[in-house]
Formats: sequence, C-alpha cells, structure tokens
Amino acid sequence: MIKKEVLIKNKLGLHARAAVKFVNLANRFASSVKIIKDGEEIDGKSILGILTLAAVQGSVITLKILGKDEKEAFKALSALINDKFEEKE
Amino acid sequence: MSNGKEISLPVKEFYSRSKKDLKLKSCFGVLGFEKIIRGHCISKNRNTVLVLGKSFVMKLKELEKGQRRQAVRGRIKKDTCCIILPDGMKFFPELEEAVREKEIALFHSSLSSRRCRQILQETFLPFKSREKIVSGGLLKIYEQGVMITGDSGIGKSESALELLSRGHYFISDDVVKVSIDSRGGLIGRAPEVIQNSMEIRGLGIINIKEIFGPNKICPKANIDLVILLKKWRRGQEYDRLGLKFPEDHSILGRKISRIIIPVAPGRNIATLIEVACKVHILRKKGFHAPQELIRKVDRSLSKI
Repeated sequence: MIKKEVLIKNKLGLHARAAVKFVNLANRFASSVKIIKDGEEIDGKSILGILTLAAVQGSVITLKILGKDEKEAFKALSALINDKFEEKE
Repeated sequence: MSNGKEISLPVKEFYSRSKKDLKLKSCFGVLGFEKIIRGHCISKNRNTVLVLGKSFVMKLKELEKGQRRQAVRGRIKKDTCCIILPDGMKFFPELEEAVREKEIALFHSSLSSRRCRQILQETFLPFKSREKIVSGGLLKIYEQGVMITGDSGIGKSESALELLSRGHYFISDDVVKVSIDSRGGLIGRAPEVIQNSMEIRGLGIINIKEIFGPNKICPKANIDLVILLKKWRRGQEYDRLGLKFPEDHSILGRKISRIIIPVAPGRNIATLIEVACKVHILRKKGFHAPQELIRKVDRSLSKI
C-alpha cells in the first residue's frame, strides 16, 4: 500500500473538471484509490466523492493506493496533481 | 477524543437539553442549576455527570447510617456537577443531605443507568467524531434506509437508478454523511454540494430532483441495512441457504446488518436488493425462511 501526501497547487483546486481528469486516470488502474482529507476518506474513483472534499488551492490530500499497480497509479496520479491538472495556473 | 472541543455547559442548560432524552426530573427544583459542566467530553470523566448505579445504591442499603453517609460523600467528587438517579430509584436522606450541602443538582430518571450513560456519551461526544463520510449510495426502500456499497464500477448507481424508477426514494449517491441521532441510530444524509446529484457512466451527472420529482427525494434516512455488491468469482462459495447473513457491519461504532450480493450477468440487482429488504423486514419480525425450511426437512426425515 502506498500512502503519501500531495499538495493541491492549481488555482481552482479540485473542481469538477479536475475531478473528472483524476477519476478517469484513477479508473485506468486496477488498484483501489482513496483520498483522505481532514480525516475523511473517500473513493478516488468517484467524481461525487472528490467534489465533497472541497479541496482548494493549498490544501494537502493523502493518496492511499492499494493493489497490483499501485506504484504506477501513484506516479501517474501525483504527476497529474503536481502538473496542476494540465491547467495554466 | 482528546482533540475534541472543550465544552462548558451550565447544569440548567444540560437539564433543558437532555431532560427529554434522559427522561430527567429535578428532585429539588433549581438546586445546583448554576454549576457549569466543563471538560473535553462528559463520557470521559464520569464524575462530572454522575450516574449512580443500582448496585451502588443496593450496597448502600446494607450499610449503617454513618457508613452510608460517608459512602455517599465519597462517591461525590470535587468535579461532580450533577447527579442522576436512574432506574426510577427514590432518593434517600443521606443523598439529599449531601447534595443540599454541596449544592449539586439531583435528577430522577426512569431509564436504566446503562442507557443513561449511553445517551450521555452519544449526546456529548465531540461533534467531529459523530460524523463520518462513507462511500456508497443511500435509498429508502419500503421505509428502510438501505445503503448500497461496493467497488467502483460495480453498478451501484445503475441499480440505484433502477430502484428509483420503481418508485423508491433517493437520499444520496456515492457519498453519504453518516451521523448518530440521540437514540443511537445511524442517520444518513447527502453532503450539501452533491445533493440530488447522481453520476452515471455515459450520462454524466444527472439531477434526480428534476428527473424524478422533488417528492422522490428524502433529506435524510435512518440506515437499517447495508448491501455490499461484490463481483461474482468462480470457485468462491456463496451463502445458499441464507443462514449466514446478515452479518454485522460497523459504522461509527454502531453495528448494522449487511447482506452481500454477488453481481454477475443475468442477475437483476435492483430486484435482488428489493427482495433483500423484504427478507430483512421479515427477519426483524421474526420470520426466518431457511430455519423454517430446515425444520420442515428435519420433521419429514424423522418420520422415516
């Protein structure tokens, strides 16, 4: 299991379109993807789940990934977040 | 919880807030009502709101007068703000003397001491720990709050949609905010941001209120049953008689019945969930089909 913290860098935070990008990417992997924020754990493969987190710019979320391809999944998902969801700012 | 908010609650307010739940009645009017209950959480320090157990009072009765007086005074600690006499017990002279002297409120309660402590714990737990976000959908089926859980992509939302089109009620999809009510039951609500929303692959986000009408939406529901959808695996054994389920599932420390439904092509999940609810209702009423069948088989075997 991989459990690591990631910082949300983009200006709009985890908004709807960013959530879709994250979910689509997470669904490519067989591993289970969970996001923990403020002690609440939600399914990282669910758009509605991510939207309830209300993660704004500067908030820290924890990715908890478990499964055969957890390493690849963490690498790809953390890269997407660090890349500001391919947004300009 | 050590990180909980510290409370400071006047006894007067404690009484007005919890007299209904705890079935309280003050013995001596407003005596001791100005004392203030402080602390992280009442349940952690049992002395602040002292619930006298039946066994303690019974033991007192065996003692002599002087000893009894001492025992009562020993039980009342420095930080005791009010005392609850549960099980409908009557107060006795030594206790009256002690509370009058120390100006501590004394309440009667018709509930048992265990139930009193339980309610105190639930009502005065720090707010945060009484709420939890759980992954799963929540519907109201035949007046039962049913939470549908399972891995993503297993068809939770799709079966929920099918159940909605059969006339059942919607609370939340994918995420449920669960809290504990004053009676200790679990209550599920939709998180505010995603109220009335459902996500269906291929359709995107849909608004249930607009599609099915506002009367098909419930703001909250007691959670009575958890359904876990699981992928059908070859070689894995499933409960064929129905003797094993419901097993217990735990949310916020509360136990709740759970039924596992294997998902495979040709199995209509919505119908299975509807029937699982009816089975659950029947079992609560005491009707248990597999046991009934086993009894019949046993009877016919013993005839031979």
